[in-house]
Parts: sequence; C-alpha cells; structure tokens
Amino acid sequence: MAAETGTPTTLTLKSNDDELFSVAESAAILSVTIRNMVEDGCAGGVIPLDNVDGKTLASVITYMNGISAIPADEEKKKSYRDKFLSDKDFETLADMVLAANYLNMSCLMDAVSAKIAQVMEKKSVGWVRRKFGIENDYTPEEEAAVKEEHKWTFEGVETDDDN
Amino acid sequence: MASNNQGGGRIFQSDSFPRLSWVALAASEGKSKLPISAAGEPSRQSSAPQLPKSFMSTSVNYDHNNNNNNNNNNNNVVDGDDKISQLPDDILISIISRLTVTEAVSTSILSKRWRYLHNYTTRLDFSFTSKTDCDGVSKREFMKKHARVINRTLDSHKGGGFLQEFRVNLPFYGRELAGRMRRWIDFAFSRQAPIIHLHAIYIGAWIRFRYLIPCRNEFLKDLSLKSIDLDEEVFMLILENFVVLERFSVESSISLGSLCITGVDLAPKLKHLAIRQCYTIKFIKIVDMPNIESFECYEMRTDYKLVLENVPSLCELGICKKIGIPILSQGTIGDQLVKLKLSVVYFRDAVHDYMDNMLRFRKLVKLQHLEFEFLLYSYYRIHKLIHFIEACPCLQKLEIRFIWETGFLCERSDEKYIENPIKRRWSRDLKRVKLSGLIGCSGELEFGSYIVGNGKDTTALEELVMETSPNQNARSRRRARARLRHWFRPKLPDSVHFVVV
Repeated sequence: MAAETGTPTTLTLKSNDDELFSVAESAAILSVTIRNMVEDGCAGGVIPLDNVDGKTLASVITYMNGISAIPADEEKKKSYRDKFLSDKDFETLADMVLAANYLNMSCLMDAVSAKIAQVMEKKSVGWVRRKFGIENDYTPEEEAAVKEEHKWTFEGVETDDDN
Repeated sequence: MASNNQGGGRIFQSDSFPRLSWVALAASEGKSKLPISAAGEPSRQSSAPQLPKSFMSTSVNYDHNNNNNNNNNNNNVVDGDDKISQLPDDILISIISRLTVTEAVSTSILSKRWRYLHNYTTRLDFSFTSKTDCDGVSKREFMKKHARVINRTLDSHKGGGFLQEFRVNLPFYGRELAGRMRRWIDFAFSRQAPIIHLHAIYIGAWIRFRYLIPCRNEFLKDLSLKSIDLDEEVFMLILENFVVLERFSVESSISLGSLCITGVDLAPKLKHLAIRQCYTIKFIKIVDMPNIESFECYEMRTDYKLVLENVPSLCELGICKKIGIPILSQGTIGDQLVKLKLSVVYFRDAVHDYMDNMLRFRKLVKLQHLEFEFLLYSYYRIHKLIHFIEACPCLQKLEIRFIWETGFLCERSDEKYIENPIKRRWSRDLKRVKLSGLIGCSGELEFGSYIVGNGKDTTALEELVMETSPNQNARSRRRARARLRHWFRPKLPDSVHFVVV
C-alpha cells in the first residue's frame, strides 16, 4: 500500500499524553482508522490519537510490528497473539481493547476480547463479580427475577475456584 | 450500541462520585447480600482489604484523566476496581460473545449494566455438556429442555442482524429435535452467519439434512456437521449452492456412498475438506479442484477407494489404513505434501504389508510435518518405520503415537530390533519430535536414539516430548518415565526442551 517510493514509509503517531512514536506505515495500517487517514492523505505530519495513552500505544505498536512481520500464516499469528497477551494484566487488557476499538483493529480486538472472556469461562456469577469488582446493583427481588428468567443458565456452572 | 468513536474516551470520563458510592455499597453487600455471590465461602470475600483498594484505585483513576503516567499504579488493584463495567457496550458484547450462550446469558445477573447485553452477542455457541443435570431426567426431557433454551434465546436475540458464528453442540440427539433444528438453521442463515457448526451425538436417529439445501448461500464459509445425515445429493447441493464455502467437515453420516467432487463449478472457494466416520463411503474422487489445500478422511471402512487428481494446492493430507500407500506413490501428490497424517489403527492383520510397502515409497520431498499413529505388536515394526521417515528429507516436526495391542503390552521383550544401528541420513532440520504411547522398553530407546540422532547430528532439534502409554498402570508408567529420562537426558544438548510425561 502506498509504496511507490520503494523505501518503507514511516508514520508518526502521537498519544493523548503527547508521546511520539514512529512506526512503519505497513504495520500501522493494520489499524483501519490509520489506514483511512493514510488513504485520505491526512498522514503527512503527526497523527494524533486522542483516545490512546502512551503506555497503551507503545504496546499496540509492539503488536503491530510483531504481527505484520509474520507472513500469511494464521497459526503463527495466533501463537504470536497468545504470547503477546499472555503476560498482560486485566488493566492493560482493558486499555488495549479500548485502543483496538478506537483504532479499528479487529484482530487485536478479537484476541483481547477472547482473552478477557477466558477469565469468565465456567465461572459462577459470584466469582466473576469478585474477580472484576463488579457491584451488584440489583435489589434482591430484581436479582431473583433475573435469575428466574434465566434459570437454566445457572445449572451448568461447574467451578467456583479462584483459578 | 456505542459507536467506535465514543468508545475510546468513555472510560476515563466516567465520574468518580457514583463509583465512590457504590464502593461503599459493595462493601456492605459483602455482609448483607451474601447469599448469591459468596455463599459458603465468606473468607474469600475479604471485604476489608477490598475497600481501601477500591478507594485508592478510584482516586488514581481520577488522576488518570490528567496524567497517564500514573497508569502503572493501577496494576495491583485490578480486583477491587470495576473497570470492566465501564467498558463501552460494544466491547462488553465482543467479550461475552466469546462465551457459550449459557455463560453469556448468566452475565445478565452480574449487575444492571449487564442485564441485556447478552441479547446482542455476535456469536451463538450452544454447547451443552452432558454432565449437567441429566440425572433423574429422561434424555427426551433433556433434549426438549435444551431445544426450548435455544428457541428462547433465538427469540430474544437482537444483535443487529448479523452473526459471526452459530454453533450447536448437543450431548444427545434424537428424532424429536429434527423439526426444531430447521428453525435454528433458518435463523443462522437469515443472520448471514459465515460459520455454522451443528454437532450432535447420535442416539438412535440421524437427522435428515435435506430441507435446508435448496437455497443459495453467499455467506457461509465454514460448515461442520456431525451426526447430521446427508446423502450424496445433499452433499453435492451444499458444494453447489454455498458458493463461498471454504471449510467443510462431515462426521458420522450414514447415507454417503460415493462422492465425486470434480470441476471448478463445485465449491470454487473450497480449501479444506474433512470426512470422518462415514462408514458407508466406498469411493471418493476429488479431481480438478484447484483451490483445495487440505483433505482428511479418517475412520472409514477398510476397502474404500480414494482418487486425487489435479489438486495442485493440496498440501495437507490426513488418511487412514492402507489407502495411504497408493495415494502417496501416485501422481504428484507425494511431491506436494507439506503435512501428512497417517493412521493405521484397526488394521492389525495388514500392518506387516503396510510397513513393507512403505519401503518402496518415493521420497516425500516437501514434507515438513508428519503425524503417525499406529498399532504395534512387535518391535520389528518400529524398525520398519525408520525407512518411512528416511523418505522425508525436509521433515521438521514428527509426531508418532504407538498404540499397543493389549495382549502384547505385557510382553516387555527387550529384543534388539535394530541389529546394526543405522546412521541417520535424513532431515537435519528436524526441530520438534513427539513420541507418545511409550512403555520404556529398549526397542523404544533405540528407536528414539535414532530419531534424535544420538545428540550429535541434531543441531536443529528444539523439542523432544515423550508420553508414556496410558494403558499401563501407574507404577509401570513411573518406571517407564524414569528409564526414558535416564536414557535421553545425557544424549541431548541442554538447548533441547525435553519433557517426559
């Protein structure tokens, strides 16, 4: 894409806390948001990304570079994504999924969503509430009503452990 | 649903005051509203340490608006902070879409924020485990109940008209469900789902698959059917009408006799085809399919015939029984393959012929990944395997699973099956080796030594995994593991990842 010059084009991205990052255009256009800017010719100077902070953007760029270096091999890409996300805590994942959403990077968005969902798999409601600190704002009556409505879903939960 | 642009900013703008108030609420909930969330395990609730944490994270998050460098401070207080509920709707939906429908629906009880999100999921995965609640309920009742659950979910599902995936995985299947399944399929079609998996476990009746076919479908890319019966005509109609189909898998169908898949008009996009446990198939012919990349057929009757011609993209093949031999030595197939999976289980009487035939193999010049599964009743056969492996000069990954014929497992004969150790002539690229079904006898040790090349000429080797046979008792397995470790560890450079399980 846009490689008429033959030399790899570099883009400069700016996070909302004014950190600047250089990234190869070929990697950055994994983001549809950025790709559209490039295609519209708006990518000449610095591209401001108002919804992404520096720390998250650094991570996202690491991912962009890593995944775009892998040729079309879904298995290898998947294992790269797994490895990339394996050591991220929930706080980081949440920032990253927001950034992926804003940047319109469906592959990262899918991978992070799946990673967060993994934590909730086969867990009881009580466990998930505690894990994420979710406040139960139902009144006992309301909660009983919701529970009754979806009674069948609470019969199959098997584990309630912390792991 | 929130649009993308709103999504990013929302979390940081969420005001801290309501959150402060619910933190207090949450703490009191720990005492008063225990029955749902923490019944039986009050110790884990630990509301005392949670409270200050939550306060702290709230204030940190508030600063976060002005100064993102504080971000790191948040990492240790994740558990007390309800960051997840502040994510925009479409992200939460994207997250719960990864869960099974049962799990996604149960998130509605987390809090009001989550109440209706499950109606918008983009994947519907109705996977039910058979373990749950079939005690005391007849299978018929069980099926009816699950069918009701699926129907109710479909009734209330909103999700903007599109589905990314539709999966039904039933632990049982019976005639009663046939009519209902039609509705599910219609639903998935109407939502233009590109992935549809319908799996059931046969209990006395296969469902005829005829009714759903006549329509043309330009969305479906991945179709997998298990215990759903289709005949040749329907099979062909699927290939004809589902014009973007890339992956097609059929398992446990009893009406297929012979399949002739030829020509570019049929399934022009088809890349992956798998047929398993279709015991009625006598003949499969795949000709002039330029895009097909992988083909698998397992657990078929012993005498079925397979013809592969002009399939230039085919690089992955999975086959069972003696069918493998003529196919690999025929035409250009042997030259194309990058990955091969061979299974000769259930073929005891002919194992000998099979092995001898291998010796006449031409070389599989491109083969990088070989998976081999076979029934064993003498070490002599292991010896024959070597010649097969010799025929693969580019091999990078090798997995062999031995399945011991029960009667022979006890005869732990330590016969020397390789009289003169063979110097390895083949692939120096071999990176990963996995041998499973081992019993720790000397035959295996020598075979293993041959495979890993005595550690001298295996600079490329990265990983050696050995699994002991599950058919042995615990004591024998322990002894086998000790023997394997003792034998192989000194032979391997430290760089090799060596695991014995």
